[in-house]
This record gives sequence, structure tokens and C-alpha cells, in this order.
Amino acid sequence: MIKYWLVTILTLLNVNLCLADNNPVDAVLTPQTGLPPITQIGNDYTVQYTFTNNLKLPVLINVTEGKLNSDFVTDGLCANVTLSPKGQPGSTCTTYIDYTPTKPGPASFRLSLQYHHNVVPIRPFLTTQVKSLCGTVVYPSNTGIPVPNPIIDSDNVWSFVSAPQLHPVKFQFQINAPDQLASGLIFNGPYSNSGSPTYGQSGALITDNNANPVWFRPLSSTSLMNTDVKVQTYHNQPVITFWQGTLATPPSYTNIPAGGAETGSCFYILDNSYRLINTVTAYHDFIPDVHEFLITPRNTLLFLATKVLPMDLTPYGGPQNGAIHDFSIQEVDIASNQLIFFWDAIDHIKLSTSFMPIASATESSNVWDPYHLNSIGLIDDSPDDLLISGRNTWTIYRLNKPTGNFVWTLVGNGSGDHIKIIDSRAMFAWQHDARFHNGKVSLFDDECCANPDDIPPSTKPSHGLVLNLDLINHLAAFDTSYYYDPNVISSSQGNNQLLTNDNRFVGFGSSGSFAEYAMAGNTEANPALNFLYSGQMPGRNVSYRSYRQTWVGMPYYPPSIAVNTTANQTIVYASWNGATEVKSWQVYAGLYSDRLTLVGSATKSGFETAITVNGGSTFYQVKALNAEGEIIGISKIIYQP
Amino acid sequence: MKQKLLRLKDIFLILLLLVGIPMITYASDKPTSSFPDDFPLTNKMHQWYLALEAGGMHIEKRHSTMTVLNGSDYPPPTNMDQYSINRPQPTVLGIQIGHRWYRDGEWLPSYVLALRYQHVLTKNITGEVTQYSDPEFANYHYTWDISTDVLSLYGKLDLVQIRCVMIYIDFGIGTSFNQSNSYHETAFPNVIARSSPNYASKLKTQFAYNVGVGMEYGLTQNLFISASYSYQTFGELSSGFGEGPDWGEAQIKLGQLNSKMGLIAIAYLFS
Repeated sequence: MIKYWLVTILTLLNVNLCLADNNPVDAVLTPQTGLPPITQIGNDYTVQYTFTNNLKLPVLINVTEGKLNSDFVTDGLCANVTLSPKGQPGSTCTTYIDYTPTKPGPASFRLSLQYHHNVVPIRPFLTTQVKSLCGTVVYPSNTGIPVPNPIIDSDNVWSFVSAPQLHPVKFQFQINAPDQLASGLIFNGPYSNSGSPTYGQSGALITDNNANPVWFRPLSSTSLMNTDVKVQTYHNQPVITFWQGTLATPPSYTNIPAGGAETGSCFYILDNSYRLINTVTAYHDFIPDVHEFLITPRNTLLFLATKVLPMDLTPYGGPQNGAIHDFSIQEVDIASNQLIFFWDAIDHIKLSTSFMPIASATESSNVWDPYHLNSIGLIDDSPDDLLISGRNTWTIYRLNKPTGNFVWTLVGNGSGDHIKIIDSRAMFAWQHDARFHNGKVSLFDDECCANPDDIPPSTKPSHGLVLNLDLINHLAAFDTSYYYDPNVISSSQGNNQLLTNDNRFVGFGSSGSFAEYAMAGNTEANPALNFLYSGQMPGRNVSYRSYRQTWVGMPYYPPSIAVNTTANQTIVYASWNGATEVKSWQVYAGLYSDRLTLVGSATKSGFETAITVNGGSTFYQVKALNAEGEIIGISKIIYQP
Repeated sequence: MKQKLLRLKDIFLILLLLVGIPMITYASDKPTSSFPDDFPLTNKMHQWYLALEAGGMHIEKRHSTMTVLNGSDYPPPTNMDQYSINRPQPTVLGIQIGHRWYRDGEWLPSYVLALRYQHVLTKNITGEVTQYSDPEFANYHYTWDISTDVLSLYGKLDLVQIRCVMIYIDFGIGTSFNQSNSYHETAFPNVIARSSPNYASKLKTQFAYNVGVGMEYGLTQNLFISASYSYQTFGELSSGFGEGPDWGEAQIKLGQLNSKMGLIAIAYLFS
């Protein structure tokens, strides 16, 4: 009784107690805080409970799930387990609870521990608010034509023992000059159009030069895609950004022009632990567009957004009950989600400047795609100006934000009023990814759609292109080109990235290939020149853009482990999706989960490392080590009798 | 049942306030000077009377702990949880309706036969639960409500009268209705609380008796007050079986409930 009052008084006084009160079987949660109060769909959460026998005799425990939400998964490792007496090997048991929120709203989950007559409800896992996530629901097909299932069981698709949920595409690669390659990893967002099966899952993919996945974020359906997967800087920290949603492609999606973003899509920003920082959507009933997602030095987000604008198209030879796919440029403050800049193409670009045949509208429910803006670039020392690329107008625009007007325009066939093209090699059409740097404009020159006779010369086959701009004399001249070896035709997509060592990394968009070049580039006739590295995706897999960038990823989730035991050997598989700093693995094993000893180690090899160890153990764990030999990640303990 | 008992208690308290206190006030307003020196009890041979009584109980502790099997197959005593017992000191209220007979003489001047109802107000038994009988696992504080009602045939024999004071002995036999009510337990800090065994309420009817000695003082010929000391046994008291998960075959048993009690009563004799 005295103790009761003492405890009560001290508790009221908020004194940190350390009394002899002790649980016969203790339960310790890691991390101590459990689940965060606000969780986000798209993130995974793992907590673990360790149960320890404090009795001097063995005790049979049974940890069961009081499942209230199917998004929680436990491994059941502590169900009907006898724990050894206090302090002896085998006196603890660890169980892991994985939470992958899929539905908005509060969620909770409860474990129950029983030993003898004692039934102990373990502190429930509560998350008061699960934020719904844009871009996670497939936009329904307007034609009803089903999208083929992805191809998983293939030599062109990765599969892993320790990460069975991951099936990224395996691309072919060729390293021609390893010493000349820029440092960094390769960023893609593989997908396929709705008429072709995708090799592997669609999603954001980081690989090394040998096509080994470093990080893969699979999407739940091949009708969901990621585009423009790249590293940017947000508040001086590197982040991964991409667009996510359903990209309209025939034959399943013809409600808007091919390559348009369907309703529900948005932009994602992940930190270097792969936690979602934020998502951004568009204003004024526009839909966030797949093509550009640019974080500015002032931590705002510039992006393109589209809207179907009903219009009588008869003046342009189209249907009366037609529409255009309008484009806007929007700038949003990421932290406050406030719109701070809005510009609408329909107010500034004449429809008559489009090279997209009006007849094409019939393929997309009478929605014409006259502009198809596809890039926004910053301009050195001119924070008020933007460089915009209009694929279907074959035009690059320098836009002055305060006035909303163009400073100059550069038309790919040389017909523009502002800047003339004096060299046919400098001509372009259906271009993507226009960037302005040091007086030069870079772009990717596609090949598409119009009457072949109308296409400017030297724009075929597709290639990366750099032009010199003479803004005094209003002239654009050829500087460098970057052709794929062998040459390819890309009808859509693509990019042209300047690397830190002045190499160029070119994504060939719809051709499913990408390559790195020495700065001097090559020619159509001699594409092998300065062709340092190349990658080619299988089948109809493509990536809207491809980048090489440096990236350090330290996942918030633990490494993965799997064990395969046969009569002859035990192989432990270790992987850690997204961890860039792992250099080697250690394997710990034992007969008791709390008495594991080092039984093997190996240098990291690709995404998944297989390590052969002696058999006879029942519990296994792997630890990831960095180049300094420091442990940077510890997997769950798994039971493998 | 509990509500009914509560209602009885309320009525009893109101009666005590409405009848008892004015009577005491009346007595204090009219002190012993209103009595003649030889204070004849009455000139009648017998009278009906009504008495109200109140007092305190001190429950005897025959065992310092209660034990409950904890479901393990460990050797004793680790196969049991121990429940320490802090003795409650509940209040008892009573009412008597009976008849009083008189005899001439200083010795054995009167005796009483009455029907007596006593109610022991609900009182918590409290203590600590020590799991596995190991002091390291003294992890819970518990409270357990008990109450008792006794209906008995009551007798009282005045032994001697000295002026207005009479010394008497009393006794009673009857039935005790021992009620075990809600059980609650609270985990101490640092302890992950288990689901309470949640022992059920239980009413147990038992043989009860009492013996005592007291002193009676006549304020008037119709109004007496008395003080007594009594030993009373209520029979056994235990909880119902646990209603908490997996405690369905367990119960806590207080054992024989005996008490010593001091009572003050006021009796009104009808003319």
C-alpha cells in the first residue's frame, strides 16, 4: 500500500521512476515511439517488439495479432514460443510488424501477449491520420481495352530471393570507355505503352553501370508510371523527384492525346532515406503533366500542367466539337503549397504555329495537341526568364515571367522571326528537353508525326543536339550532336543532360535506349565516336528521360534477408533497396535469436549478395557495412529451421 | 440487488437522521435532571421498541494474503499469484424491532428479543498482486468491493441496573448475505498491464452469529442510548470466477469473515 501511494505521488510529481516493478515477460518496442502519428500512403513502416523472459523458469509465450487493419503484417515469429529462463540463451524473441498504409484515415493494430493466464494487450500501434496519396489509383481506360500484365518471369527482368516484391527491368548495356564515364548512377522510369506488355514492373529505377538495380520503387500497376526520375536539391538537401500517375497511351487511353497525364497524377519528392517529403498537384483544374518537374533555387516548384479546353477547331480544319490540350506553367511554393506563378499557353502561343496535324485529334477523342510543351529550364543569371520547349510547335521559347511574353523564339525548321538557323544540322523537330547554358541551347531531337516532306533536313535519326546561339545577330548554329550507335528513331520523349565532367548523357525516349558521350559528340555517320556507354531496355520498355546523377541513399527501412537451406548448404541472401553505401555484408546466425554470432561475410555484389554459410542455425540476420567497415544497417532476424 | 441494497441504505440513513438526531437533541435538551433519583424503568411489564445502531468494524485477518493459481505448472509457490490484504474498517448500520420485558429488581431488570437487520457498507479490500509469488513481480494494486447484510434474531439481557445505567450482554444468530462486487487492478509504472482477471460479483449466503457486551443509559423512560462491543462472524466471502481472458477458473477467496465492532445505538420504547 505504501508503495502504491509512493508510486502515485512520484508519478504525479513526474519523477522518473526506477522501481523493482518488472514484467514477468517484458515487451520492448523499437523504435520507442512506435508509428509516427501521421503516416503517408506510399511509405512503409517497420517496428519490432522484443519479448524477454524475466522469470527464472522457461515460459511459453504466444503473441497474436488483434488485427484491425489489413495494412499491418507480422511475421508470427513469437507465436507459441518457449523462452528460456531469464538471462539464458533463447530468453528473448523478436517479432516485426510491417505497416504499409493503403487507405486514408486513422489506422491501428494491436498485439496480444499471453503467458500462462496472463493476457497482456501490447500498446496498440496507432496512426491518427493516414494521408491519401495522389497518383496511386489507375485512371480507368476510356476504351475498355485491357492493359497487358507485366512480364516477370524473364531473363529481361530481375528477381531477388531477399526482395521478392521487386521485379525491375534488366537492360542490356555496353561500356566502351569505362575510364571516361562520369561518376554517378543511372536514373530511369521504365514503363510501356498500354498496348505492349512491360518487362518487369513500372516505377522509378536507379541502376549502376552494370544494370544492377540500386533502388527500385515498383508501382502497383503497369497503368501507373513514373517519369522524369531525377535528383534535385530542396533546401540544400538532395532529393529524388518524379511524376506519378497514368500516362495516356493508345489503345487503352484515347481520351486525351498520347503522352498526356490523366487525372489524379502528381509530383513526388522523396528524401535520401526514400521517405516521401511532399506531393504537389496543379491549380486551376489543370493536371500535373508528365514532362517537367523543376525545383528552383528558392525551393519553389516549376512544372507543366494540362487541361482539355473545348474549342471549335473548324478554323484549323478540325471538328467543331473539338478541344485542345492546353498547357500551363505553374510555380508553387513547396512548403506552403501556394501558387505563385501561372502562365497559360493559350494566351501566348498561336494555334496556327503548331506542326501537329489537326487530323491527329481524331485519335484522341477530338482533343488536339497543338503545343505539347515538354520542358522548362532556368536560364543562367536571368531568374525572371524560363526556357520552354514546345514539341508540337518545334519551338524553343525564352519566356519572361513578369510580362508573360517571349523574349525570343527559336523554331526548329528555321522559320522563326527572332532567331534564324543557318545550318541544317542545327534544325530540329518534335524536340524535348531544351536547356540553356553558357550561350548554348541543348535539346533532344525526336522524329514524329508530320508529313516526311515537311520535316526539316538532318533531324532524322533522333539525336542529342547542342546549338550555339548568337543573340546579337539572332542566329543559331550547330555545335554538337549525339547519335545512338546504331542510330535510332525516337518518336517521342528523350533528354539531353550535361554532366559535371562535360560528358553528355542522352535519353532516347521511346526507343528505350540511353547513352553517355564525351563532350565532342558524334555524327550520324560515325555514331561510335565518343560513344562511351549505352543501355537498351528490352521489348517496348521506355523511359521518358534518362539521367546520370550522383546519389547517396540511406533507406529508412532495414536491409532484407532470405535464407535458402538445402541438405548440402545454407545460402543467405542480403539486399538493401536503395542503399548506396553498402560495401560488404556480414551474416549472423545461431540457435537462439538473442545469441547470434558472425558466421560469414562477403563483399557486396550487385543488388543482392548471396553468402554461403555453415548450416545448423535456426536464426539469421545480416548487417550492412560501409567502406569504413562500419555497420550501417541491420536486417530483421528471421527464423529458418 | 445492489440497487435495492443501496435504497435500503438510503432509507436507513434518512431514518437515522430524521428520528435519531432529533431524539438525541431532545435528550440533550432534557438532561438527567428530568429523571427521578430512583428512575423506575417503567411501570409497564413489557414494551415494543425500535432501535437504530451504527458503528465501526474491524475485520480480522486470518490470512495475510490470498492466492490464485496463475496457470503455470511451476512448483509452489511460483504457480500462484499472491494478493496481499489491507484490512478495511467498514461502517455498519443496523435496525432492531423487538420487545422488551421487565422484571422487578436491580439484577436482570430486563431482557430483549428482536429482529435485527445489519448492513455493512461497501468497503474496498485493497492490496498488491505479486505475480508468481516473486517479490520482483509485485506489479499491480487491486481494489475489491465487499459488502454484507445480516438478518438475525437478536437477544439482549440487562444484567444489572445502577441508577440510569444498565450493563448487558447480547447475542444473535441469523443469515449473512455476503456480497463480492467489482474487482479492479492497476499496474504500477513500468509494468505493461495485463487484462484484468475481472473477478465476477458474487452473493454468498452464510450462517452468521454475534456475541457482545454493552452499556445502556436511559435518557428518559422511553429513550435509551447504548454502546457495545461485539464479535461477529459473517461466514465465508469470495469473488466469482474471473471474467477476464483465461481467468475463468480462478477466483479470490477471503475466507472466513470475522470482525470486532463497536456500536452505538438509540432505542425508542413505545408507550
